[in-house]
Amino acid sequence: MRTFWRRRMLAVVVAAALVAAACGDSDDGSDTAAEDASASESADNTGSEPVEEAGDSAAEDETTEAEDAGGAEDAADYYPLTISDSFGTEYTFEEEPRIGCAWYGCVEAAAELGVSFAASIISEEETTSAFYGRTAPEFLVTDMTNPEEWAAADVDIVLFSPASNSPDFDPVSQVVDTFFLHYDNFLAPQWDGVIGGYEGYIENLRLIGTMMNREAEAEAAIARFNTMVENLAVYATDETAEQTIAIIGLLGYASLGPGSAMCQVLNEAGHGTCIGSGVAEVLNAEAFLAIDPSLIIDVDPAAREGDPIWPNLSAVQNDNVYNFLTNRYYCCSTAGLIVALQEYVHRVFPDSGVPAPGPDADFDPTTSPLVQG
Amino acid sequence: MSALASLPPDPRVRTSIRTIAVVVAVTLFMMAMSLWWGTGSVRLGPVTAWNALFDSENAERLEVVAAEARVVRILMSVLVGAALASAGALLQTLYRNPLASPEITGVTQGSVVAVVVWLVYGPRESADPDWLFPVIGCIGGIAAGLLTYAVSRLGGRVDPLRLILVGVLLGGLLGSLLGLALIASDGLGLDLISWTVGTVQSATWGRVGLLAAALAVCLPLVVIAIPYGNALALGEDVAQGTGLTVNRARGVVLFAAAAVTAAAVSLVGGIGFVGLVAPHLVRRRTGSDLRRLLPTAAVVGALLVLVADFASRNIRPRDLATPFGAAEMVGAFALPTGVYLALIGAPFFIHLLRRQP
Amino acid sequence: MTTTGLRAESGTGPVVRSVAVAAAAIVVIAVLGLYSLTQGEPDSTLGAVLDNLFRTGPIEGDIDSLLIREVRLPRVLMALIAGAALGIAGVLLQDSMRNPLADPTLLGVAQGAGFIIALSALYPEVVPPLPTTILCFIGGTLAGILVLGLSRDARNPVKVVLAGAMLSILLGTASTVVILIAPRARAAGVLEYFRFVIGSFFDVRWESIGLVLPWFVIAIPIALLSARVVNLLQLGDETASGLGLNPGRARIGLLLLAMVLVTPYVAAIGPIGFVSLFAPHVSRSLIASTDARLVMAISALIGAAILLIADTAARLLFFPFEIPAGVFTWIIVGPLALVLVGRLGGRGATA
Repeated sequence: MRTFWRRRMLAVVVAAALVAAACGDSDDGSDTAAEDASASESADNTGSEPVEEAGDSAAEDETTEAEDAGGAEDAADYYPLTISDSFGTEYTFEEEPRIGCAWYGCVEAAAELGVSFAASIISEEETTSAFYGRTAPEFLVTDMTNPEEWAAADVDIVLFSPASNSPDFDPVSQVVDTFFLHYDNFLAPQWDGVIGGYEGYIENLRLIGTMMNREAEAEAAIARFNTMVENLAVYATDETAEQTIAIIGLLGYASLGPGSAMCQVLNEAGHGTCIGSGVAEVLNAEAFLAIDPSLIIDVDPAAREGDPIWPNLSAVQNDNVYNFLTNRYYCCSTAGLIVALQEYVHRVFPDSGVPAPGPDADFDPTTSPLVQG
Repeated sequence: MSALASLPPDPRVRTSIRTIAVVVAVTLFMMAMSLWWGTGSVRLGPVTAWNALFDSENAERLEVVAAEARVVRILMSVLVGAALASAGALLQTLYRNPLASPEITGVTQGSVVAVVVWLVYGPRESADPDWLFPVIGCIGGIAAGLLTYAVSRLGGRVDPLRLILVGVLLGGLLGSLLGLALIASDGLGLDLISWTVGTVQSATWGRVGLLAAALAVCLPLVVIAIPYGNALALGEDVAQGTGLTVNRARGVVLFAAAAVTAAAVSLVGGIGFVGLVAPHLVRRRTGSDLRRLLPTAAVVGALLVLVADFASRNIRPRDLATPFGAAEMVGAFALPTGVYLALIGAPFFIHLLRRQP
Repeated sequence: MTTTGLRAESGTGPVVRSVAVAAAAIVVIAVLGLYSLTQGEPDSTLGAVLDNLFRTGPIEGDIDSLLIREVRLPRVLMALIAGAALGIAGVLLQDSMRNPLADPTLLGVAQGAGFIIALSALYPEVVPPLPTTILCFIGGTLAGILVLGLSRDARNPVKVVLAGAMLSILLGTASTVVILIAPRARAAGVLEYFRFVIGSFFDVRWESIGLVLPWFVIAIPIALLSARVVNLLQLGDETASGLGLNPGRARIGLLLLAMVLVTPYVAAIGPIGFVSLFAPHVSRSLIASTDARLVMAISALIGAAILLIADTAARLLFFPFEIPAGVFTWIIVGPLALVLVGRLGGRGATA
């Protein structure tokens, strides 16, 4: 229980809100596409060693990136290894562990690193649609609080994202190790030492990379993300640096707060500041009018019909409202954020020639124009 | 107490014993089923299960894990079911109303609200001890029970009618508070949703032990409450004639039921309908004497929760929808225990309502 | 309570007291309403408020006019209309069933409406495509009729209350099941359900008023006209049928009327609990009468005042953030209702 379900439901709601506008095409399309993709993926995976595949993708990445293209270290030298999770609990690994992923942050980061894993998210569709064309899970756990399912998946450790002290997972922790990742969504972390925002996403890549002897791949993914931020800054002007942004679509005028990963990146790349403090507080309509954000990203245009405030907003008058189709602003990994920001550039800077990101399942973060520059 | 002695010998004693034997047998069979069948691919027969539990060195890891996970949930289900059914039997006697159940005393909602508010808004520590949230839930539940009693006393006499009205209103108020607390947490997020319906998924050995200990503490209280309940069942005038302080008798019975309910609910959330259904299933055979009704109902309650948890662990809504071509309309994931209890309880409740004179 | 009320009715006492209470309530409503209209971002002057209230014609570019007339006024009006409707519905339900706990939240009406909203949001193909107000009416009325129909004896308050409580739990569980089993492709519907549960006072615009006003205009006069029937029912079924009334049919009619009053507001602003429980009780004790005509009028005013307070607090207390108005009705009304029922419950029910 604990905050975990709360976070989850909140994420679902926000996802719902953000997806609302896009339900028609992107959802239907991506789900079927995702299933096909995952089917072929898992077929490919069954025979092959995960290490090899990771090596391949690492090699690809390193060609553009970097100096230390050494690939994975020899496992014999690498383990035993001791790392601590976001709560500071230490875990020691004698060999490369088989991991299970509970929820998005772990699943997306692990897929990005080419790690094979068992997984549980919220439905089969989601478990296969959040991979950006990469590794699909080997085993689907349908009740993540049930230890025997994780045991049947034959995992050594279950990685939960975000950190949680839910009593629901205590039965699992009596059977396998439970490792808590940093935040994988837009909310403020609730415990000391647990990191939120995009730094949480990055730290999750590092933790999984270290645990799975994929440090080079993790660094490559982080470098991709940093490149994306740099490329985003190219589109920034003095004007964009001053702007206030509202990312709305929840109840009434609730906006993603400045502490969310999306807003942090926009801010660091010189694209302005998000309004508000937290997320899910419903903002008073007149207060929204008083703040009068200069750029509005809206995912629920239907809710604005007949709103007396709406036509009086300067963003509306200046045609600075964008109805987005992706739902990756609120969570879960650097790859997801690349999807969101590619759409941002595609919509807000049409002259850039950056294409729309397309369905998540077909999206490859390594080839995104924002990452390529 | 003297009312007890004057009760005539009841021929239903033997029927009750037979009933309880049958129910215990069915419950044992259900426990075996629960142990045998689980979501994992492992099937555990009695021998395998025994080996997995007591000779884990030589058993397969998956069998050991599955056996432990199932046994813990089975024990939790049995304890919770027995506790709630006992509370239901006490309350139906106290209110002299077959529709009474722990949910209408405000205790269930009080406990759930306390746990939810604590988990969502309380100080956030990563390493809260295992027993902390159940204790808080228990305190919340008992506080709600006492509040029901105290408010009912405002009008002077604590009559069952007023207890029911106040309990239902308090439950309604706490229920609204719960909804708002859930949604207002970070603005929205109907979190802890399976907790509000009730689920035994958080069961561990520690928590089973905790509940067992709490129920052991409550047991004397229940034993004390039984004669009071029986005396109250004779009607207020008779009860008074036996030298009973009616207000105190009602207080004792209510407190016993509230304590037992709070102990169970604080570990599994708002599980309902057990306390309503279980006493009814056995009353015709055991009669209304709590000495026979309560233990028999307790076993039936255990059986009910066991069945519900078995369903909760093994039924995937999608698998049910697939034959109807509706697979894409339904998610793949399991539903909490409380849902299946409501499913059992709903037709029963309607039947009860209609059958009432 | 009943006897003193009846005795007092022969004199002018209750009428005088009603006028006094009504005057006080109207003053509270006027002052609070005007205050609420002035407060916001930016605050408006009282002059601007009065100016805008009595001026018709198009809004010019000025911000006061926009905020007062398009944002704040609809909310104040909605609070008043909904509060009045809830107050009257409470009297209808309580008196016709002689049940002190006859409240939409306790009869399962709110949960019935919530369930049908959850269903229509997540599984639109199984629910006919009707406006939310109609859906809420259907869901709420079905729940109410189920409670009354199943308990068969609507005069037995304990039965009705217990049936309502258990049905509420059942319907709440059903809504949860709908949310839990819906696959992600339908997740957008979860939001719609939350929007309902949380109540959307912050979304109230003139269109929302337009949706509920016809119901209000039709139901209020009928309710006031039916006060005589309510009074007859209070005398007991035998007396009532002696005077030529079919108590069973009258009760069903009054229940439907109460649903017509309550459910549009449940659809528009979410389940606001316990106002219709509390307002009639407090009205009866303030005017020391159970005459339904008077109680209805006073209860309407008190309901309106409570909802206005709740909405003002929800809007301004944590400005610029909105809090669900239900929180404040809960805080204002909840404990008082509990004490009232603790003291009156037994007597009112056994009377």
